[in-house]
Amino acid sequence: MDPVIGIDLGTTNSVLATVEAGVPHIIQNRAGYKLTPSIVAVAPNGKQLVGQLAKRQAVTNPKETVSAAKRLIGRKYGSAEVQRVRENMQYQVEGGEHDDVHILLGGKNLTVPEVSAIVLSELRKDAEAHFGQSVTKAVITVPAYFNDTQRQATKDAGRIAGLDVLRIINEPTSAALAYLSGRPATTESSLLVVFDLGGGTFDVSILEVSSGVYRVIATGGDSFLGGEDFDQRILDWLVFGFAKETQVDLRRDRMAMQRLKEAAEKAKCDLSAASETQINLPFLHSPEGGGPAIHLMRTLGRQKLEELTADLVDRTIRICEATLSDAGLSASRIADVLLVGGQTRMPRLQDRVRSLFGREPLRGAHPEEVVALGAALQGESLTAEESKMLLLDVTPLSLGITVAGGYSAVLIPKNTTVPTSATHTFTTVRDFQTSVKIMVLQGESARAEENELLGEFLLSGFRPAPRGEVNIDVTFSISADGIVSVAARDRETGLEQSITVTASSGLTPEELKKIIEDQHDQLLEQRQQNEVSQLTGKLRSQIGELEQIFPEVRTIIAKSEFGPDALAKAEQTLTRAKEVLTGADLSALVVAGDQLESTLNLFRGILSKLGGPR
Amino acid sequence: MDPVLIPGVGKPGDQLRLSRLDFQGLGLTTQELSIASRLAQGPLTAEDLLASSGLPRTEAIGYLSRLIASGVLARVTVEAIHGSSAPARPPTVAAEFTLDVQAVDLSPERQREITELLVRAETGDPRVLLGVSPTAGPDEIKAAYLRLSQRFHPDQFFRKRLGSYREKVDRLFNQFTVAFQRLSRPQESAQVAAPAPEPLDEEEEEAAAEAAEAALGPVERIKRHLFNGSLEDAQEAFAEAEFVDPENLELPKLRQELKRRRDETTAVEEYQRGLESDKRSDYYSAFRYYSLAASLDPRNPTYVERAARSLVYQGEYKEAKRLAERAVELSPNDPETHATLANVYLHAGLEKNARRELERVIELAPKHPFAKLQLRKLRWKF
Repeated sequence: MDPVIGIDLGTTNSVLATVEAGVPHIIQNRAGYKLTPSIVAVAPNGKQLVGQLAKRQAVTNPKETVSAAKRLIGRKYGSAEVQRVRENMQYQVEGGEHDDVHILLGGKNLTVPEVSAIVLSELRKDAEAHFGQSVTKAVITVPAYFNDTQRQATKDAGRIAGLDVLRIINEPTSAALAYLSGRPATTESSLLVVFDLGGGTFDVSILEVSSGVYRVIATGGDSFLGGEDFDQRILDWLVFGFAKETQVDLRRDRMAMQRLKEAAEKAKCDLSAASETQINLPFLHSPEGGGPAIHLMRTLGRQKLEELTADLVDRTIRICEATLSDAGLSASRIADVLLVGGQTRMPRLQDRVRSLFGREPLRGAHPEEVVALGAALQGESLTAEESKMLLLDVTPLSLGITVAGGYSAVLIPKNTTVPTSATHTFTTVRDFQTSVKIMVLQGESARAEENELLGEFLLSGFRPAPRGEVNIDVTFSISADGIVSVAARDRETGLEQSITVTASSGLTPEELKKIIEDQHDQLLEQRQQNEVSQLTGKLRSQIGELEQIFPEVRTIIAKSEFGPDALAKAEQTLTRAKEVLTGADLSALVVAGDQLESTLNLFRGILSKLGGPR
Repeated sequence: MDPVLIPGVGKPGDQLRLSRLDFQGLGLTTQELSIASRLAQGPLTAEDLLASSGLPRTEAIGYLSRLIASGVLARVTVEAIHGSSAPARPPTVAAEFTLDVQAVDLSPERQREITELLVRAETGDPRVLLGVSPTAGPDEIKAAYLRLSQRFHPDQFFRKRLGSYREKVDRLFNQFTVAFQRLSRPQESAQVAAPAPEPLDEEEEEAAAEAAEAALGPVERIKRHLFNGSLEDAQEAFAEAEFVDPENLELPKLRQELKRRRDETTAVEEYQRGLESDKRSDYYSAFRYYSLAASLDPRNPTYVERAARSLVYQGEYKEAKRLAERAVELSPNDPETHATLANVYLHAGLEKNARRELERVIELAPKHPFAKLQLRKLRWKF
């Protein structure tokens, strides 16, 4: 059976896992690490770097180093979130054709799914190195609070990376799966809360688990709240303090900012164990007009960090409370609370969670790894002939359509188990109306414009009839991946209605196809280059051998009556082969190689028969 | 010798089997679907089917004959079953499934189960679909939902060849979820709550009441049922009256009254649906329900007023104004109708007219919060 992998495509780090002999485990990358930084860079020499290598050179090459692409995936360029991260970003982005985000990297203009695909390709290669065979089947995780566009974009990234994405699953659900898979199955049902604060996103999910069924009751979160925001608070504090002390605004110094960013992250991690940490950055900034370089030296206490990030922690707790109330449960009903994601190492956060639920939260030894393990388990379960495990996840956001007056009419409320569908009947309001436009929304606001517009669809080609006589049943479906699709049919005639997507913020199918084709072209080109270099090498050694034995053969033949024609022909072959070497024509290389080989065989024969003792 | 023929059905010993499985669009009633669903396991004799339907015999016969007439059920006569030659086994549902077997990775049993569950879904009763008793508690309902999910969730057939069953499995799981939600969400469960089990001794009482009723003439019974508000019974009595006493002069009037009352009931139902839609902020649907209610019961100002209000939300001010004016006409002393009309004017930017209506509201209900607020706002503007 083909291997199946689970991928936790994180904001900061990505993790790869699989299930072998029924046991889920992490696959290390080729450098021997379990975590692969989700960073892509193009080095000054034009070489593409991914992961650890990209991270290592980030300080010296901030403009060509892309990190945290997950914060941009599936978002509109004009959105407040994207504009906010842009302020602190060292690499360059611009708006695309349908208000999507494009990243400028190594002189190329890439969509966010293409950048994420580079990370996924790297992980795929790690998996192939582990299995020693080609790997395509994968389950990829996303934050539970991701909307349709973000999920679709993540799936697109997988496809661009040459993966067959079996399923997009939610990170907290995945974590619950991995955490509980080791436990013996009981028929007794119990309630579990997963509190997942990763690098860029926060999710909280409430699950009920009994005899192999993992049923999500409610999900909440903020797809723009994570460890990176905590780092940012420290960074701002350092920049502000530095400015007060030295009147230097570091924000314009890209390299200094990159060093500060790393220092902030490290300080935050230190403070999970220590109560105080030193931040030392010698020669941080060289004044423009010359003069001695300025150093940065500060002490950050845990209490100060808690002060700086108090509102972020508050937000997670408020979301927890709201999700509990959505589920109609009180905190005391929860049997277990599972902490997932690196940021949950923060002691203050653990305290708040403990006091909210009145119990000690659980955390595995490696909160960064459980998500990938769960994804691998789900992949295994899906491809297994008979599976005892079943995930019943929910849609995190309500799905609706715009109705006249600018309101949103909800068709599928949030926390509905997926896959699911709902049918809404549209009626013509004018005589001989032939089309209707549907705007599909996701979000909880009653005002249409405050929700995320997933797409605009044009239903057209209605049969001409007086108003009210044409009824079009439009079915909105949400797949188990959490991805929305729309189908329409005329109620009387039963005919499918054509649907045209007139606006969408993601990649269109055509664009995706083109990207994948380009990717294939690139692969083919690369393969051809490899073959050419292989053949050239072989040809070189053949030429070398022939040139070496040529004089000897010439003397032997000169003594015999054996045809000088053959000698002339051999010389010709040699010259032609040398010519071919300068080009990169694959077929010419093959022909020249074959000719050289037969000449060599002939000469070797002559030498062994007539050459006498050598 | 010959057993009595059941009208429209055939002999009691005739076997009935399902001859088609696509029930949508046939407009079958719940009772008809529940009868049809009994045959999903295999054919039954007409007599057994009638006996097990749990419905009054005459009523059940009616459903059965309609099912046969619409081609849902096919009949295999007693003679064919007990024929002199080798008894030709009537084709069963399972036999029909075998046609599909090569095409899909599903055992015939699984196919039959799926089909049977879809038939159960057609009854529209969530408890029937989930296979739980009317008295089942939340835990039992949840257990049933999870058990069915574990067997029929689309993931259990991940990337298998299912042919036409792909869509069926998807639909089925969606139906399970809907059924489970309806039963487990407290605010909605009231509508689908099981009828309270009746104590035994009441049965006798009822029988006595029925006997007493039968002594009355049908026309009298129509009036009584109308008075009690039991429209179904009134309708039944009306049918009887038309049969036994067609010349009765009271009948045309009663027919009209009956229709009006039925329309009124339906209007209330539509109105309720409208309110639900409003709750979901689905003003588009709400308008359709309200205007249906208004067309069924045009004298009720509430329906018209509600329809107007939902149009305001959709920005259809012209039509909203027409309806709001009609509501005012129907109920000139109701502050709400004036408030709605005022609201239409406000949205349409006709502030002078709005002020006039708002002042009228204050006249009728001096403490009306909407009117007070809006009037204050208007004053600031001038």
